[in-house]
Amino acid sequence: MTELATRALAIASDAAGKDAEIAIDVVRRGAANVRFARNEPTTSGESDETTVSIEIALGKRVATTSTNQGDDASLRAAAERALAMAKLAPEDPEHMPLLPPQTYGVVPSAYDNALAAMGPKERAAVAARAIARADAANVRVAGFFARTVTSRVRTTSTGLVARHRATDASYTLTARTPDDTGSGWAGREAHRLAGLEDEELAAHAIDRAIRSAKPKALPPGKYTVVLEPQAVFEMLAFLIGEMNQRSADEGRSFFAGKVGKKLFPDFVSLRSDPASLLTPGAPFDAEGLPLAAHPWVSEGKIGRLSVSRWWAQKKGIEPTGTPGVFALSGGRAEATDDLVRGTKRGLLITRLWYLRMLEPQTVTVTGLTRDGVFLIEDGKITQPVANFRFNESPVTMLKNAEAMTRATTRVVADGGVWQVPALRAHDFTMASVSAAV
Amino acid sequence: MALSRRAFVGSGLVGLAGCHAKRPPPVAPPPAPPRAETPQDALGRALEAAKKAGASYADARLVRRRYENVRVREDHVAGVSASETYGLGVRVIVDGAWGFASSAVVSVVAAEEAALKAVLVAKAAKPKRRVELASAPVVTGKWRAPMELDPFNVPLADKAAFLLALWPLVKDVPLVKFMDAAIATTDETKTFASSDGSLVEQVQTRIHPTLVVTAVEYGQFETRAADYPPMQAGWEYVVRSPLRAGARRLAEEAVQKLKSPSVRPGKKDLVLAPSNLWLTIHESVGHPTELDRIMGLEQNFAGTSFCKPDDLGKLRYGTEKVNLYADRIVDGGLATCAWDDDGVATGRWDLVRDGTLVGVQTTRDQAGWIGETTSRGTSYAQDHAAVPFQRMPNVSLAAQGNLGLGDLISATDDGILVTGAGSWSIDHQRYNFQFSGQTFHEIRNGKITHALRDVAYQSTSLDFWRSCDMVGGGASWELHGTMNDGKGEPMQVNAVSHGCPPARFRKVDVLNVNTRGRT
Repeated sequence: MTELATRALAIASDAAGKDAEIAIDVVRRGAANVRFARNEPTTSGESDETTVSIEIALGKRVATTSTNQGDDASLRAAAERALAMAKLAPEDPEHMPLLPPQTYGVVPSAYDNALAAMGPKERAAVAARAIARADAANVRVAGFFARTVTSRVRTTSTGLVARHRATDASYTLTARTPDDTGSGWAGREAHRLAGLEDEELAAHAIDRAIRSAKPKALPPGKYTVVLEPQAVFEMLAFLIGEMNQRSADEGRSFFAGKVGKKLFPDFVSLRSDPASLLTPGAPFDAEGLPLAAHPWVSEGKIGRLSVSRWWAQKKGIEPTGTPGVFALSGGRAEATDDLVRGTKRGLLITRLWYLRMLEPQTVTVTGLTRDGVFLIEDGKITQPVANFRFNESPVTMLKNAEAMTRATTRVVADGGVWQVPALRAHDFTMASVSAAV
Repeated sequence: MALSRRAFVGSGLVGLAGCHAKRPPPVAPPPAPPRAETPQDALGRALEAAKKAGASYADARLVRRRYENVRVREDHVAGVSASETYGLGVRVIVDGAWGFASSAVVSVVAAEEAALKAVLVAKAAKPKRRVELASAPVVTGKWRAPMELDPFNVPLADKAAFLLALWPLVKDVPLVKFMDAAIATTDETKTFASSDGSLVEQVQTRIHPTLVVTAVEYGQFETRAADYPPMQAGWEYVVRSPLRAGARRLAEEAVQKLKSPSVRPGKKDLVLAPSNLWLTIHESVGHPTELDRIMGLEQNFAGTSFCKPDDLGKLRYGTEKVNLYADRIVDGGLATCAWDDDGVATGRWDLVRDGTLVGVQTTRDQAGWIGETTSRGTSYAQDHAAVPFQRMPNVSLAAQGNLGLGDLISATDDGILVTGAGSWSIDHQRYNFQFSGQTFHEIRNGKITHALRDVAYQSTSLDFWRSCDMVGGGASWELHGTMNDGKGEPMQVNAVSHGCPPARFRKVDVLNVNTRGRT
């Protein structure tokens, strides 16, 4: 990896000359997966890809190429193409010079040897255990287990070197009852094999499927909801996407004029901290900028929005980098059951599906509930409920939050590391009923 | 082993047969030098190694993918990037189970390693039912999408200049503050070989110029995105595009949206322009008729379908006006090619005929599930490192008669005309959907009265198609599409087109999605 990055930098420097600024990013991604459906394995595979990205800047003319071929001739061809593109590209006034060498904080290891060493038989066994449970419970199960080993090196002509490596396991499964009226889901990401608990997840999905069978349709309207962590994450991801200082300053964001304002209850805090044991992450972003702990929301108050290096320079403020780890915390409830117990009438929601921005002005999102909705009456789950389409904003969800669990779960976030609690909020807008199971 | 694309394409398909240019023999012949290994040797070795290790079937794909993107923001370039991947993917059936592995190194050694890895993966799987492939004729040949000017040969400066020339056309429109425009270009060069003896090569080039204008006033903003679709085409498609001619109008429409009255919700007749209806077809017809979804293979991710195998020939999908078909042959279609990634020749077939469901999308390993003896040719993998599976072909609504958009508007008393793609979402069995758009206009007594804002329509797939009472004619049929349709785990991206004329749908629920006063 480091050898490849150093060699690519030397080749690109030779091709582009001493006036060029060059950044090399090498990412090696070893991916292996097993997929199953209808209670049997379907497709499984392995890939091991190394991508070399070469960014060449001639003043403010800049271009990037990438290749998955690591031999000298391919690297030279990619560098020459980047150079030719940079020469042709008009000036980008927002281009920032490359960073000088940086000092990065020490982060907990996100690498697990046991996970990295997992072979095809062990992966197939994860599927086999879920299938055996589903066969015994007479439900139809489908799932996906993927193990990824990622190593990354960034090195630049300004002397910056940044390295990080991580292992990641992602496991999700969906069980359905034979009469097609019940569906249950469970999923988790972990950077250690020991943290995956695949049997527990399989049991949970199967139990949810059986308990959600033959749901009753309730009318659309505003409901108190207990959102399980995966559902909370699905909404929050849209919030983070809008928390950009530039968009706010330009007047095309909900967050225009909101920094420093208290929008949410005291117990709502959202942070990014790669040094936290709960969210181990790279201590640098794509440009190699060190990532410090970032308070997006502190005790209900909007903290900092993300600031690019260019916008920071223009506005005379500090850039924040672009974090990839997030933790919502501050809840005091012991468990999701406590959130249910404190609900007079409401809905317990497993997860959300097909979310799309509907109204960026208010961060209103549309989407559907999926794989287990239950009616709560007087603190008890009384019956399964048909799915809803919702039109709601994560801003409103957090404004209306009544309680969160103290414990958080690492949800399935396809690359990002998100630790999220379960949350109860009132007046969540269900727009219509969906017949989907 | 690295080869330039030129060398690779130039090497043709004869490598497997070991054919070489003839030279006059030297006077004193030295020992024959070992001939240079070709990528086709790697394909051959992969198949050979897989068979030797116990595979009953194997195929191998050599795929080079290129991607280039030029982005501008108002009057300056915001990004120029290019990427390229190359490698070999090997798929095998061992003991009735699929296995897959890939290699970015293309050599006979790496190909053999990938094949053996795929065999190990298959052996670990142990499915209850064996994979059975529908028969497919052995095919050989080459194909490339028609194209006048390869966009990868067009200087970046020309591409940037095209985009930068748009800002002067829109910046003087009062309240217009921002513009984002880009040209995305991809191509994929693929050689497919199977243990059945098929050997085909094809090249697909896709291009998409985009333009989005944002207007801002009093802390409110609206955007308007151009409706110009991605297409399998060359640079000529961008040059001939109406983006320049229509840029100012686009900007004016962004402002118009900002100043329009908010829609009154209720049941309305919808006249959907092709630029809006294509996405509704994609979600409410394209995905529900994927056989792998119907059978539960996508249950854990994208979901299943309201269609069941027993519905074929019976399910009343829409009114008799509704004729929907799938193809991979329409000119410019993003999914158009000559052979799929099973090596099956592509074609066209009906999905919904006179309102009744009559067909679904299949691959070689799925056709038998519904009693069909041949595949429809819809197998696709996004690159060499991805496993091929069932992906959406072009799915389109057939034109009928000779009505145009104006005729549909004239015939409508209380309706809304929707153009362009906006927010879209549909449930995991493809019943309940909600779509927005780019522009909305009220129709009263056969005439457009004024623009509207905050419109979304909500329905279920069958209710929607069963409310279709007018379909435009051939002159009003347009091909739209997306470069980024996601499906599968790990998720793969597919490009697909949808053609349609404008059509009318009666008494559809229209929502007002204005929440600006609430949060």
